Amino acid sequence: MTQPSCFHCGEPVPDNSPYQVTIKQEPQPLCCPGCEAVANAIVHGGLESYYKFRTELPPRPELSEEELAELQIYDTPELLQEFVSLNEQGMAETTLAIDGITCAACAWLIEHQIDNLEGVERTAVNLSAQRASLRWDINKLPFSKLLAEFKSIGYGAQPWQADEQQQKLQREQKTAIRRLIVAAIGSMQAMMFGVALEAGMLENYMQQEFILLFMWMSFLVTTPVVLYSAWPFFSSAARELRHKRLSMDVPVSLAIGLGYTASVWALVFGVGELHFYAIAMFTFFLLFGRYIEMRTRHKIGSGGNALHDLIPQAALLLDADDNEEYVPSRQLRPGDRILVKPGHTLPVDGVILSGHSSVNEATMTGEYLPVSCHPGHQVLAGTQNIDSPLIVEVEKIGQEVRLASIARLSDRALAEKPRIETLANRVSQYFVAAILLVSVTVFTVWLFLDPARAFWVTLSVLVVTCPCALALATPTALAVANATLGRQGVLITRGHVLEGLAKATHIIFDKTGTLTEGRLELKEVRWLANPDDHRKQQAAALAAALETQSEHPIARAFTASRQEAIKATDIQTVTGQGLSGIIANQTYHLGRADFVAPDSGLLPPEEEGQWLLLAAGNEPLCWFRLSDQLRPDTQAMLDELHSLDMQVELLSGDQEGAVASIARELNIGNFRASATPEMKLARLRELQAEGHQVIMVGDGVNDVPVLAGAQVSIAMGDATDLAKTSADTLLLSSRLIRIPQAIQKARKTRMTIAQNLSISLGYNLMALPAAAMGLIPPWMAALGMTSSSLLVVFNALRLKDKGNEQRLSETSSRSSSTNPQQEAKA
Amino acid sequence: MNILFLLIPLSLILLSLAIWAFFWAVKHDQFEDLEGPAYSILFDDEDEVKKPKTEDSDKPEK
Repeated sequence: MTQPSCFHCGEPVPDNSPYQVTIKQEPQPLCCPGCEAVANAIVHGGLESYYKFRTELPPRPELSEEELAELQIYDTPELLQEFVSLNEQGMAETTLAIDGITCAACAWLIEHQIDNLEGVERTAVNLSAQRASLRWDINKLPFSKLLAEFKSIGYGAQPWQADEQQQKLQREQKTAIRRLIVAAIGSMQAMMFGVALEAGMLENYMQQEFILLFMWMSFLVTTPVVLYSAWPFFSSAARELRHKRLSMDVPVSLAIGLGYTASVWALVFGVGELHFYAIAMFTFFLLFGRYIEMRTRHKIGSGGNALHDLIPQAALLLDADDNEEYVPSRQLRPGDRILVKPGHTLPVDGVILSGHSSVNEATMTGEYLPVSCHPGHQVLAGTQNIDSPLIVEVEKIGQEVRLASIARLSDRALAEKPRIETLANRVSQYFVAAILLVSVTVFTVWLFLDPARAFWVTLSVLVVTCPCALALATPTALAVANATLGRQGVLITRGHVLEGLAKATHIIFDKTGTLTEGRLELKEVRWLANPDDHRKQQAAALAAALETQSEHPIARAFTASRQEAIKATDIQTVTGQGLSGIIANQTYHLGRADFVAPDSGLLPPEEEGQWLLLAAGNEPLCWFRLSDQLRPDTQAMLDELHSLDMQVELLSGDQEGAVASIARELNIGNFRASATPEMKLARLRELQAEGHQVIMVGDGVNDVPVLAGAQVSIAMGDATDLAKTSADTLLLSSRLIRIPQAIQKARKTRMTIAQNLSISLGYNLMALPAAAMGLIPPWMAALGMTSSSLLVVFNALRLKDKGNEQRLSETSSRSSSTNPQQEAKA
Repeated sequence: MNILFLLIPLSLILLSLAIWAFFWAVKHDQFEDLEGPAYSILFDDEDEVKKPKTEDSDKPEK
């Protein structure tokens, strides 16, 4: 780890790398041509401050000519029409989803770089949604050029359009802000009038007309808060009641509704107390909590249209004479023939007509090694062609493709997700029932004792038992725990997660991308030829030279071994077999044994991993063992989970051998290989039917249905968008050790909630008899309510950890050379 | 004190103005990105910005 790390992306720089960038007269090392291009583009644009501002490292840019050429399809009128709109002045406007934004400096860089282009009028980057909206002159700057500019500084940009779901979320969010604003302003005003009123009445020098004025003003400012802002509580309570359930919204609505009605009654008939400002404040605080919760929930789904991101917008259609033409993928019909170039993603499901290549099906199966494909082979939309061009006959399009059916499976699983009955919900059910019962009893009794006072005593019972503290008990604890976990990189997006984590008994992992890094590493070189051969030390470098031009995941395993002095020429790739090339006038072959040295009869060793043979001419030189790399904290996490009494299971779409060896290495007894999405879901249902609470950790598209169906689902930070949207927890830092930590925190939170509930119930129980006997004056009720609420809030605050100190000690212990790799992957 | 009868309705008018302004802002997407603008003010003035050296330890949380 003595290698310098790349100035731009932080990956280790290969020895003698020629790539560098000069910043402030100082040369800085870079790891690859991609980084060099991006860093120079940034420096030439006069934007080197980016390196000063940034707080996170960017992903390693992948810049290829083909990708740039591919962008041309966005200039076709059909696609332009769909994504770009022209305003009255003839300026084009569009919204782009940007990949690779890691921190605020990225937004700064994009805005400055793009704004400086000729013809661009305005660029605005939305950091939280990772989108940019642009206004520019399309005659001066074609759309494809604009997208290429994003690429040149290292960001992927795709036209973005809100689908129905996202438009709904956006509307929901806007309405919530409006309600919150009305509640905030209304409650402040109500407070002003209310306090003035009480102080004035206490001092007894307020003239009657002012008292009346202030009362009516309180009424005026509180009314919109109750009728507009508190509306969601009422409608939710009504919905629950229709389904014969009692939820927290019922007592909340009851308190707001009855308090308001009683105050209006008191105002009109001049008897009793006004509670206007208390009601308004109560509404505001509750809305605020809900708003924060909603905002975190929406944040996840903002990446873009998950499904669209995986399927390319355009395809190369071949006509009867084999002329190529770019058309929008949507116009493809079954029976059409399309050409899929290497590096491109398939837009449809189909059958290969001609061509031999390997296809990366990682998005579908989680298997990171490409599958070799031949004519007659089925290929799926969303998978990527790697080696050579394929001609594919379209079979299924649009909603019929396998990818879409996985998305549908996940929707259904989400709908059938077992509801976790939260502690608060259960308690509040009884509590609400009890309050209603007691109120009716009190009313009946007082009707016999003193009919004139019956209504007021009943109301004071309801006010005193106003479940303020009860309503706060759960949300405050959850909010504090969520915020604390969020700071540690565990982003929780749905309300039930903490409850589910605390109760969970089983945890299921997907292998690739969760337990392991999902990429090959060179593990071992086994020398076969003469041990005195001078090439023994260079074996990996020779292989690296052969692999320089390959996009295959195997090639990446050799990147670190690259030496500039060793160069290969005449490199030829044979799909599914290997490659050959000439180094220093000697022909080398690298790949499967029957391709590299067919005469030798060598067979790969029987051990775990993928074995590649390197041969010079006909002489086999050595075996390379490539294998997937475990994440650094996998073992530590499993130990922690074990001490928490969790059952660990492994459900992977990978091949039997690889899964078994990982399971053995990690000492996991329960594992299943080659699992399809349906099989995973079935296994989950099986566990749930046995009454277990299951946590699912995954990252691929094939995990999506299980993620949606599990009580609690966790997606890694570098998971596919579709996986992120179906999961209710996101591990931003991709550090597995956070999972057991989150479980511990969840258990602690559950305890705190229980304490909070007992505090608030205790207070209500004590106050109830006094109120029922008509002994409690309003100020005492108010004091009791406030102090019990405060107590609950302070108790919840105990869940905060010494976050800063903990993180500081962790970051300093983390070596700086392992960190960038994780960042770059994210 | 009778001035209150004028001032308080006046405050109500200001109040409705404030609410209208907020609604306008919501409608025009001013509340869409609550993260970016907080940083962007730091970035424009190049020479004034002094970033702490220990970038890792004090990174802003997302």
